[in-house]
Amino acid sequence: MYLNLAIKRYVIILFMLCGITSYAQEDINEEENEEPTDQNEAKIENPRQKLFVFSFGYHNPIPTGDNFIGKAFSGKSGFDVRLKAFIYKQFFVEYNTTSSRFNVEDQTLVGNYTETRIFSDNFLIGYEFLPIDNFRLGVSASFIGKSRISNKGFLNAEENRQFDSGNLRTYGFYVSYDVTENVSFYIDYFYRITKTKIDVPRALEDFFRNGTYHTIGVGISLSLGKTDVVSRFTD
Amino acid sequence: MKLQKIFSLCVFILIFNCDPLVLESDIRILVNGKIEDTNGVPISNAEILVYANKGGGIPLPSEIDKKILGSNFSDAQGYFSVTSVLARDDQFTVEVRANEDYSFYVYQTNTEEYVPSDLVYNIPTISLIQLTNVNYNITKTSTQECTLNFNFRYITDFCFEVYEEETLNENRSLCGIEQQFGRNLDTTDPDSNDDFKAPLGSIVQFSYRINDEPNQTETFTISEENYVFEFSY
Repeated sequence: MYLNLAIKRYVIILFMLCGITSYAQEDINEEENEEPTDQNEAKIENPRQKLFVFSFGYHNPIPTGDNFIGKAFSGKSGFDVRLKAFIYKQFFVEYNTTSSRFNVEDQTLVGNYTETRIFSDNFLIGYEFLPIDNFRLGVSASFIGKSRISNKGFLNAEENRQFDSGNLRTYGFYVSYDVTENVSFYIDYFYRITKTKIDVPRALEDFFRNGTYHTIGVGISLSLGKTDVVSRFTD
Repeated sequence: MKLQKIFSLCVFILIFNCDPLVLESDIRILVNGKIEDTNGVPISNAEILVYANKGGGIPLPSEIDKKILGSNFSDAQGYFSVTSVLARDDQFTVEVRANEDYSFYVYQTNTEEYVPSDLVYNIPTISLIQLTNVNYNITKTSTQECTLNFNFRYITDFCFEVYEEETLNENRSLCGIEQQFGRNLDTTDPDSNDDFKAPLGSIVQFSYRINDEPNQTETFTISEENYVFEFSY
């Protein structure tokens, strides 16, 4: 099932509430524990630990592969919003919503429309390495994802849009640089595979079964919290 | 006030057709076929358009009524395969045009009622007829005052076939039908020189009437390209 707007709202609100709560709690903790003790020094094992990270980025979609996206489209632009929660130490789960725009370069392969936009929602799991000061290297892969493909620009039928859909898988990594304690800039790369639900004649099955493209992007991240979710409850 | 709103809504519905074209989600179809001339020689590089013609005229809608869903060209062997989006339309159309030296072909079916289970429309081999120009020169040679009424009747340059499910409905199809045009000439406008396209090898009927004399008819076969027809009165 496609992730509907209500679920998206719940996810975003949940992240925001958790973030506000954690931020408030940390303020209280800071006020209460102005003097460092042996106990809380031991508790903060990693000073670069985060709890939640909100990111907004621009990306360039790059079609690839012997399939309808790879052969018929050219990339235009894209945006993504990410909400990341560090569950245990550097392991994280992430909700990611993305919009990628394409021009249709070869209409004979897909149908006579001129532009395609792929909206996707997915959940990822990943791990973030902290190789050197201020730098983070993260790797992630999705475990649930949906794509909605909106095709428009039919000749003489501008008001008409046609939709395709599919399940999304993404694999990628990012490198981010901490500008301040809570703000960082990043570049990322993802490989995205949409396994479509398009009903096609047998001769077109291989071509339409999957659509693949790369994205290379840049963005900004804002973080909240200094402990992971599990530690927050266990310590 | 309420009545005014209802009236406005009715006007809106009348102006903006409330029966919009439906483009099916998550589906593609294939339209396959072969194009050749009457001698069985494949015709390459013919353009194939797949379009929805909802609300457009038949056999041919205006260009702005063609909601184009798919297109392609025939290959060197005359075969074509068009990948297209599917629209639910009672005038779902496939139009085949080679260059202007050939007749064109129109396939029409109702996708509101029937779509093949394998999503493939296999159009039987399309035979396009070679066309040529018929140049006519009608000249007044008589010194007397007179009028001429003439008319050319010849085979049309298109074939329009309607398929119901996968069966040709000959009653609704229009292939090899005749069309005609004519003019009146008089002393102020005594001559006429122009041309029209007609199938090579077909017979053209030329009818005329001078003044109030009885109608006369001549026929000629278009035996060569750029055929010239001369007539004087």
